[in-house]
Amino acid sequence: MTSDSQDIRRFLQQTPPFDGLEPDLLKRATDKMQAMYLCQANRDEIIRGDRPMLYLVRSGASDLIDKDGQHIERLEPGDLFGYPSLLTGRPITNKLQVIADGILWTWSAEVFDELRHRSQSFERYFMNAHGQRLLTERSTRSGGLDWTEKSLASILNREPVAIASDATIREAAIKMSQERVSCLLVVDEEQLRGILTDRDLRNRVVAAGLSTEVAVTAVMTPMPAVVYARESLFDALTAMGQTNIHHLPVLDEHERPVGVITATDLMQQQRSEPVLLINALFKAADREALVQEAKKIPDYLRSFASRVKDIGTIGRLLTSLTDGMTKKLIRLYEQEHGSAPCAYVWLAFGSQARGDQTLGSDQDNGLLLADTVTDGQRQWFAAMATYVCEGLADCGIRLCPGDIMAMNPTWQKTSVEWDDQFQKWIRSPTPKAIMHSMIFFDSRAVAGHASLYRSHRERVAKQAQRDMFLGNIARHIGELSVPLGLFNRFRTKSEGEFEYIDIKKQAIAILNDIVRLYALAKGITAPSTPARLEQLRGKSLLSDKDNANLLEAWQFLTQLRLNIQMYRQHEAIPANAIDPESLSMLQRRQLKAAFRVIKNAQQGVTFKFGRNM
Amino acid sequence: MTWLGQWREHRQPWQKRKWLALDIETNGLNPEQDGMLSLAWVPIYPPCIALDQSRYHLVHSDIALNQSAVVHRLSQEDIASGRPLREVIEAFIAAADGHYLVGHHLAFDWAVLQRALYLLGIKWRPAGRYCTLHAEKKRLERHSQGISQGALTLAASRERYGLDAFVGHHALQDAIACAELFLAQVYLSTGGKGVSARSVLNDGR
Repeated sequence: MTSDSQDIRRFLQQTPPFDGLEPDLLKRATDKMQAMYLCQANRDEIIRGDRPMLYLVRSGASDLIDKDGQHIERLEPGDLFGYPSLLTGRPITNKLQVIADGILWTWSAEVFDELRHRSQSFERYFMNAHGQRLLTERSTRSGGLDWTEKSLASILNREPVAIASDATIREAAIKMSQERVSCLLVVDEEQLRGILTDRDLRNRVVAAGLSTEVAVTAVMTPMPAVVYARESLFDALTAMGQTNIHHLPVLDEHERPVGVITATDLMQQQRSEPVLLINALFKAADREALVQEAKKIPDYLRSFASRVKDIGTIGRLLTSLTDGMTKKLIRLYEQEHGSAPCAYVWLAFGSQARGDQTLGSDQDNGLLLADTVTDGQRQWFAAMATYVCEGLADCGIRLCPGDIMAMNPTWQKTSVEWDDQFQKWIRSPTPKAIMHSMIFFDSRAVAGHASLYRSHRERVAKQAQRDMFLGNIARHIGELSVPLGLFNRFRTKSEGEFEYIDIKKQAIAILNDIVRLYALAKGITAPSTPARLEQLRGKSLLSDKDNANLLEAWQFLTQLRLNIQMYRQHEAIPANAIDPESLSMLQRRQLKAAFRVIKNAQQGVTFKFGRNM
Repeated sequence: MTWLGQWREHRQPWQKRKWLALDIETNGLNPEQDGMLSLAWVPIYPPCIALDQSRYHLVHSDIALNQSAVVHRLSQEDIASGRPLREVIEAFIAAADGHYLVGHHLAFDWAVLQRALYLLGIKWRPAGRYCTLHAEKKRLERHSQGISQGALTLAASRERYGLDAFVGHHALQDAIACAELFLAQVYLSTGGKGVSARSVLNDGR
């Protein structure tokens, strides 16, 4: 007879997530547990960095503190800790401050994993708890790195195989076969000229019946997309996803090629969901297959979120997936209806442009067409846009309720027409014009001609630097209400039985508006809020301290929102709603601090730009 | 083991040694005549209590239960379904060999155990013995508090360490409760310093 003591079972049956275990799994948990006596004198024997465990407080009380002495949470009977290290594989760095001696129950990593794999509710509980914990722990870069945060330099395993641009195709092919590589860099005097892959040889040489005595420059891809050695695996992943290529040249800080990273390299780092997902999206043979793959995104993201330290990565990943789906849909349309008849740009606006998309984000997109476009060509683009927008909706990116979509003829404009549109908004800034311009000033080219987009965006940036326009935006921002009332209390809205704060409308959007205003004033064209803040650093308009505060507040708020959306319990709760009562003490304090930052910045812009009215 | 080997082991830090808390239920309070009804144990590898290696065995017996059944709540049926004494003792020795025994009022359990070993013709000795009751008594005496009646029960001793009171008298529960008390006593009296096993055994003699 084993230990299955009634006592133990009774306590576990009342303790989430053990309360949801099937009887045989509960028995497994009680059979495989250990107990420890915890007091201040032996706390270092109990938590050892090299031996992650799941700990359950049976009696006593302690404070969990991080390695800088920052308080994370009070642990009382029934509370669990230790699971973030189990989930992420990072060593334990937190410590305990014992308040009352007591007993801890522990489970090894193996048992924890077994229970997680055999019980869905058990698994879900920890994903959720871990997400919440991410918010309260300060993100530190010094600890163990998530695999996506590793630098590319750390995984490059061989010198690049290169050939000069005056070499022939045959010489290139011989070199590739000798070196057993699937791609070759074309390099002159340490400067990258292009890239040549197996596929190029197949498609552009053999299939095209080209002589192998021709110079490689004729068939290489000139000026390919590149990544830098200091960048992370995640950056490479995003670049591959956005361009649908499998070989990326890696350059050092002097633009010299130092290696090539392939999709296979990334997959070897980890059979990771993002890589597999992006690959599956691009391999989709038709619209149906694409939609099938896209349906897996929310689940993938949830499981991915539990493994990354910086949950902001999720917003970027989701954005790059949306970009990828858009491009795939455009390609699918072109396969059936021929290539685009003239130069164009598929524009992303709003959250997709900024790179802070969430699972609930809707589509905001439009078309920029070459000024030479004919009416017949416009029809091609109108049909393509309808196909893509509807395809995205089927993939889970819902249609825009405000109809800001490429399929709406209003937002299919040539360069000149867009210029006129912006000119109108800027010269007569009605409230509606201000609102529109807020959306349209956050833009990014997803597909099409990069240079067409660049010249358009630069012209618009110049137009916007008008005091009256900026003053009107400042006034609009000043009228928005941050949900912080008298005596630093939260001001919640109520809807039915829910008391909540709309963290998007009442906080993140205002913060984005403020940063956009500074960006407009300085002619900055980058769409993402962190990138804008980065470029504003050192500029006199916004002090570096305020800049840093805005960035911190933005990071906190967007992470909080993603967490809440990912682990939303109720479908009935609005997607961006936060119930302050459901947050921990620390989160409430952080949320108030973030609101305070926004309020101060709001007053700042009214003061700085308002006088231009 | 030679006395020299044992002497060396006793000199090691107590956390490095293996301990094992046990509890025995009998059909009365006289170890010389009242038989063993159940035996439970749990190994202690400080700071861990290896609940996963804990065991509880009912001992098969045909004896008629007496008044003590009120305390241990075992039925005639329970003990009829138990395993033979020899099997239980052999399993215990396999688990306890090389461990220091820990018990609350260990003298009683040790006497019952010795009688069973004698009856079965088995020779066995533990590496050492620690009695949580004796250790607690010494500690209270050192602090020159008058010791009131009932102050040294397992439940009352535990409460002084902030360990919750529990419903006692199931052998396994008592063994686990005793193991927790043991760790609390030793960690608090040594302040987490790695004192020798000998010094700990002295406190619990």
